[in-house]
Amino acid sequence: MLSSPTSSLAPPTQTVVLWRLWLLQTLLLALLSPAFNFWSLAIFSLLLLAKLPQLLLGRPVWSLRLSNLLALVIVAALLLFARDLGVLHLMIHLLLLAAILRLLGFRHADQADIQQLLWVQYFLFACCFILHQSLGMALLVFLLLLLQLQTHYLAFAAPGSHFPLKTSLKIALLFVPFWLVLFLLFPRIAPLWALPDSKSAMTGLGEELNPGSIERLVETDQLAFRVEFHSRKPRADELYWRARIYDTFDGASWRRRHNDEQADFSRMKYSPANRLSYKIIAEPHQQRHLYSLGVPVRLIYPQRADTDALLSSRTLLSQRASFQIQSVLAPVPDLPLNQDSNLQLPEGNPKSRALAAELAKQYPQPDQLVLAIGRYLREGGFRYSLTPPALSGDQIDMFLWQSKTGFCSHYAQTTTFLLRAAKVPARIVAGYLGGEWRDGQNYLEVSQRAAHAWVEYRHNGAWHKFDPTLEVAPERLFSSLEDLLSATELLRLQGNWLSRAGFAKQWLQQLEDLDYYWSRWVLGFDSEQQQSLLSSVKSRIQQLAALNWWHYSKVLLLLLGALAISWLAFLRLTRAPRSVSAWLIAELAAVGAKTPQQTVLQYILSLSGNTAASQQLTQQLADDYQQLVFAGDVSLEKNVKNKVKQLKKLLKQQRR
Amino acid sequence: MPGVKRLTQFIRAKIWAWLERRQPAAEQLKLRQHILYVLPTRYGMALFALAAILYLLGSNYQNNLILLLSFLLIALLLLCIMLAFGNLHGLVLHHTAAKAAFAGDQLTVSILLEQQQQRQLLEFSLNGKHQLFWTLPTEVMLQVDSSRRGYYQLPRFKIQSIYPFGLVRCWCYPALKQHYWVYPQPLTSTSQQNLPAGDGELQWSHLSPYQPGDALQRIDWKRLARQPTQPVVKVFNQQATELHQLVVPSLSGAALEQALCHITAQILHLSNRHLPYSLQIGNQILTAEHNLTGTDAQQGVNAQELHRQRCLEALSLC
Repeated sequence: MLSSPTSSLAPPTQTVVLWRLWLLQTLLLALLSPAFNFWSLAIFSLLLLAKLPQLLLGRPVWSLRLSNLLALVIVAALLLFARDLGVLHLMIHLLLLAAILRLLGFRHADQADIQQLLWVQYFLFACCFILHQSLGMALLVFLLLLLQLQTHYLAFAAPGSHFPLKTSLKIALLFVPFWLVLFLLFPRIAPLWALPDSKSAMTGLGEELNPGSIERLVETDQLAFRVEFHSRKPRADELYWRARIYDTFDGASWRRRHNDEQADFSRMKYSPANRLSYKIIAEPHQQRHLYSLGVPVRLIYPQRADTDALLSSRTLLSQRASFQIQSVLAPVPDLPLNQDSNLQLPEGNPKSRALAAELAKQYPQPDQLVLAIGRYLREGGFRYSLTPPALSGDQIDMFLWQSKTGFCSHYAQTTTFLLRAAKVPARIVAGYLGGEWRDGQNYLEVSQRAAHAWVEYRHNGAWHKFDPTLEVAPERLFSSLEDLLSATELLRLQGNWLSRAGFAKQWLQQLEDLDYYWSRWVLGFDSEQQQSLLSSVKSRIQQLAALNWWHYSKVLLLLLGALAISWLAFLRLTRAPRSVSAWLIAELAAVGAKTPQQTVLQYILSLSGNTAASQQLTQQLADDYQQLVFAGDVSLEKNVKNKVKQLKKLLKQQRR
Repeated sequence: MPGVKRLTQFIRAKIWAWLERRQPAAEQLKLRQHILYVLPTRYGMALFALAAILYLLGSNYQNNLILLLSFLLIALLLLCIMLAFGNLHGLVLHHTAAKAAFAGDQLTVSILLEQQQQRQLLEFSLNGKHQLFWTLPTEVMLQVDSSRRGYYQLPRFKIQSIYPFGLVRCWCYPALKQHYWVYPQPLTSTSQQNLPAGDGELQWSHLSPYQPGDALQRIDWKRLARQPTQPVVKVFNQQATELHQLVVPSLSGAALEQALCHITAQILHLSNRHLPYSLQIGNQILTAEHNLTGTDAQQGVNAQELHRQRCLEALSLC
């Protein structure tokens, strides 16, 4: 017990709470370490270590002045030397710094300290979720959150009391459904403003394309995105995921000319069979571009499309995110904008230009010219390889007449060059081809290994797709990359391939499936899914309302009645028979209550009343009662009961 | 700002009157929802603000895990409302017999608790004094104001708790029919120097059969050991057997208080020495014999002790 002149509703903080706080901060530092650089990680670890002498040896806590001074120095150092961390990471630094310094100067008696500390740590847990979203990490963070909740409980509980595990499990039965219902049904709002992003390296297809860039991408073999189709599933030759366009060539590499103009393709005419509806769960790549098949016809925030029908997000993809996409498998309609740039070519490659001019003379129509180029590649002894020889100088000439070995980007850039040289507008499209159907064709998993480049040429006011790689390696369409590569090339990718072999492969696939559904249902739960959930609930309720309720209620009433009767019977059977004295006291309570000091006999006699009849009756009752209870004369029980009733009646009459 | 002060006083008086109507003082009180109040604490508000911030953050990052955390905090807050309520709900308070003390002495009033197990961190506050109980005892002592003589009822006190998590506060202002006496403060005046000395002047006279009401000190214990069924008491002849007649003068204000204090001191002096005395207040005269009638005598209460108590109570009230 504590007695004090000021109101304090919680006891001083215990040491067990401090230990837990220290442990939590250490684990938070580990979880948030991707946001730290080497030096800040070292400083924060040292600060955490500095708490140990206080906890173990009982050293005095740091003074407020020391804490403030240290905070000032560290914040200044962070601002000076770690500005490249980005606003978000800096915020994480500051929050964790505040928490650790407060723990170092912790005052047991001050409630404000523990309150602020717990508050900041809850915030840091939210920061963990910015950095980690995979199923495993999320589970880990939620486990730590349980520890935080336990610490929070202990901070406001009587010293020496334990966390009531049993009670809390019972409470959790109520709490968890409530929590999930809040999550499922609480209205969602669209992002209000852009938030600072973490600065991480970009992955996936980059700003420029040169021979070799796609090969490097293929070797990383990371997950790019996953797709679930709501409409029909497209055929293998339709799975050309458009992600980027490269239309400016400087002789060595291809870039994208600046195109920020947005376009709306919703009024495009198309046949319904070509319309596809699907959900993409994209892995973070720190860029804006998204993936789509054909032309996106309906844009849902935050998607937008540019004039080349490329889909992108308004914000950087810095975390796993899902997008509902509707697109049409059709050539991209050409919008009459600076078309000339799609004919731009640098000086050089004279032999290729000559070849293009010759082919153009033979085949003046663009579609025929494309077929002719394809035939040239198919019959010219070209080879498909992940490890083509390096090109220099006049790259296109060198490829066409010397190396004759290349990956998809080589074929795409060569075809584009030839088409442009023949005055047919053309450009390189990069993206992904195909993917791996998972979990019984439920969803498609597209990894960086599916990265691909092909060509789009303009004909009759639309951009048509042409994949020159298929002329050389037509199997590429239906089989995965590894089947097409030679043994030595496979060796290059061995590191990644090995993990997908045998027993481990099955396990990994199970885990990947689990991870997918985690993303699909938890990370990707958005207001649209909320709406569909609500409407399905509504329709279920309507279905219920349509049932024959009269019939069901009769059955229900019968069931309830049977239950009630059996319950009453059970009670009657199990209840101990009521003693005569208890019955007597309850019966006569109406005419006079029994005090605890009185015996039952005294009580009966005290009720004697003021007429001779009642006095006689009480005396008889008392005698009979004595006989019944103490001599065990059971035959008198009825007698006693009658007399009690008579007495009650008599006394009531007297009262009036 | 006297206006504001008056307004707050007015509002406070209104609230007090409302409480009086809502829960009149009772001898026994079970804390139920009609007298329990629940509101979030400042920390609860801060955590709610955090949940709101996380909701915005989660919406802006389109991060469902942050939203989950936000909803977890909100669910925790709502859960705390029930738990904090449950921590007080069902607690039973019982009054105890009236206690007494002299003005200026410390006086604590005890309240009995029932159903007090499984409750944590309840704070009892009265007159700016707070007691925080980690676990509840069966009896709680509340220190009351004993500066002025009189017969009082325990004022409304406050029971509150922020257990668990410190997010939500549940409190109530129970009123119990719990009384206490504050006797006048005994003050020895110069005129009391010549009061009889007491016990030393007593002389043994004879033995007489024990009668209920006789002082226990006078029982002949040696004899009692031989004849347990027939207790006898020693009767003393008092040299100064004349009755001390104490009269409350018909004064008022500070003079009356002064006089009462002196009479209190005299009563203490006389009763300590077992000397007979009577007290006259106005027309009413209290004597020791006066008390010996009725049930008190039957129940064997020490007559002198009772007389003293009666006199002191009468002094408290006049």
